[in-house]
Amino acid sequence: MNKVESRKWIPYILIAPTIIYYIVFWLRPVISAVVYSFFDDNNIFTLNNYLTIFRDPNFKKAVINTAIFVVISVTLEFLVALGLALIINKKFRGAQLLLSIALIPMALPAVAVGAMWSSGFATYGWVNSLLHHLGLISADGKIVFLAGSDFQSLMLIILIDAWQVIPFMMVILLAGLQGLSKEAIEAGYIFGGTKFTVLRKITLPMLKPSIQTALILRIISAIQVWLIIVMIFGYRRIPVLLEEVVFYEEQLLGFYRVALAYSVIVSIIVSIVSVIYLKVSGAFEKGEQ
Amino acid sequence: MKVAKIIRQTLFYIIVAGIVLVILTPIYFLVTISLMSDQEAYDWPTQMIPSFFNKFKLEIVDNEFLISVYSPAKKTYVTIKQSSNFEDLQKFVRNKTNSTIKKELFETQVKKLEKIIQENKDRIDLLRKERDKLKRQINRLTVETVRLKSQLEMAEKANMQEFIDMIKKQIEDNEQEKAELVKNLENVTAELDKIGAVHFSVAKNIFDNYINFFRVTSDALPALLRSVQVAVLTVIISLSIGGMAGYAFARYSFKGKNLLKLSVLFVRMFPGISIAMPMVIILINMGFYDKPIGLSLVYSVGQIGMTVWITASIFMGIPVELEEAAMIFGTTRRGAFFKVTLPLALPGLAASAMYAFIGSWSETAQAIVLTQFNPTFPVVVYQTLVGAKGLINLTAAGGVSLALPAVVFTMIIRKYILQMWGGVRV
Repeated sequence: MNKVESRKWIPYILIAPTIIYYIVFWLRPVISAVVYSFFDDNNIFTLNNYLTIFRDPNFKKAVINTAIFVVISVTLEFLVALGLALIINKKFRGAQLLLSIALIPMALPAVAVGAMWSSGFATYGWVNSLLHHLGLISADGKIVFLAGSDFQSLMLIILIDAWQVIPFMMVILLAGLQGLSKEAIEAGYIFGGTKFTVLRKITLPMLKPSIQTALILRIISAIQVWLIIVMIFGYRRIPVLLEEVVFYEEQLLGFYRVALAYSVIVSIIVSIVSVIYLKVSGAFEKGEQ
Repeated sequence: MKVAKIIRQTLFYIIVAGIVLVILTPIYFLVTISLMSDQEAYDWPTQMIPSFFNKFKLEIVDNEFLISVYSPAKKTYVTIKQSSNFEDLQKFVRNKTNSTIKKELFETQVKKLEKIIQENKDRIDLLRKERDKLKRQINRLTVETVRLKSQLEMAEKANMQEFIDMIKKQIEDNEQEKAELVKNLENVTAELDKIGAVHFSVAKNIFDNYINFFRVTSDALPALLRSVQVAVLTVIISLSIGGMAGYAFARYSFKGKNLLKLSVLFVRMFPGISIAMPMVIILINMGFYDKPIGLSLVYSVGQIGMTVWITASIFMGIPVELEEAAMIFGTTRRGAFFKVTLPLALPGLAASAMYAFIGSWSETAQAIVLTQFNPTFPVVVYQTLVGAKGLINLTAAGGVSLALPAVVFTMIIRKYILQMWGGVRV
């Protein structure tokens, strides 16, 4: 076998299985989802599936709730995760232990997280009990967490979600921080930079690829939040986009195609947001190098 | 200068301790609740530590046994069941408190009780009458106070000062009288406890919820086995297919590489649950619907992308010079890979396998759509909570059993988690 000749082909042979797998088990269902969403049960072309969604007042609520959720949760989680990553990266005594502890929420299955917080935020749950044991509320002063306004409930979900997602973002940022060249940062201090200017002018720009990775993955998954909300509030209390997909698929018999149409809408929204993000953050230019 | 440093350091460690507390407290309570009996879990406030013993009080009322359990939250005994049938009593107590009262123990306690009742018969009757009377009086006062308070509200609206003062005075008197009665009641009850009841404690089976979760939800054990099956199959599929691509990413540069990197993002953009819906039809045609293999085929879509990323960064960590050196000494490229690179990459690949395992082990959304009669373990836990079965301590036990393997595996691959995100980027 001619070595030079075969080399050219090797990578394609190696990645072929992945591509074939994607085509069969991802592209095919995606295409059929899109196609099915335009037909009714008698295989007649229709836009009714989409119209059902747009006419549902919950659609508007879902879009607004999802938008609020994404903006607030991504911002909050990113800032806290960055802070945490900077702390752990200091290599103080116990940093390894702190990392191990911080990884636990990331490892927990969403269902377990749901069980944990729904037992916590129930009126007779452990959060109120803890507050009582700490002497912060009286026995009759139980806080009714789950009956707040829609916005308050959404904030509660954001806090719960942050608890689980921050470690995930932190890991990506921490991995990036550990790969940075120490010389550049030290040089920054030598030239008289304060901690803050070094962070802003040297560390963060060098960390950009990790920040991009963390943010894009988080934005994609934040738009698709649902399980935690359903496990704590049930369906349709706080409608968000993907929760509505599951609601149409699972809870309403015979609305399968509406669910598909809904998921097409969700995907389009995710793609638009992602492309805008990648354009704005300049990830495309880097990718073409 | 030195003081400032000490203060700064202390502050720093306080922040770190705060972070640790925020992370561990919810987990601590999840575990605690999973160890609690129904009686404890629904008591308010929930105790910080699960109990290991239950204190019981046994009385004989109207020729029937009356059994109560001590509630640390209420600091008093709570009645569980009145019955003349021991088996009935035992079953009820077990369900409610996770303690099994043995028959011999019960019989000795009954004998003891009969003896002390014999000794104090008249006094007990007197005290019981007194107790009932006090309870009635307290009730009457409570009702009276409520009525007075509503009158007070009306008077305040009408701004009748004299009347307001009068009602206020009356309420105060009422409360005073009530407090006295309550105190009397406490004394009477305490005395009754001493001469009319026996107390004993029984060890609590703290893992009862776990046993119950697997027994009551009949799906749980088969679901657990299915989850393992699905996860193992997913690991095999995604590691064999994704590992090859990962190697190509690490060692070669080729056209379309960046597009492929971004493809991981494309895959994530379409919600997993939406792929699962059309996949139902495809899997039915393949004969794989509601079977572990069908689930793992769908899970692998998400996991292959991750595996490509992880394995690529692992292979990049192994210098290509080692392979080249091996080839100089006469092996083929394939030989170099199997003799040099693969052994070095093995720990990293194992980590990647575990990561895929954790991912498919925890996956719930797609499993809800893709299973009908054969749910996976997370689906069973989800249904216990969202469905009408919902007992919080039972769900907690399910949640802990679900979380434990994932947490253990994550701790094992801790150092690789950092490595894999440091390698390949979007």
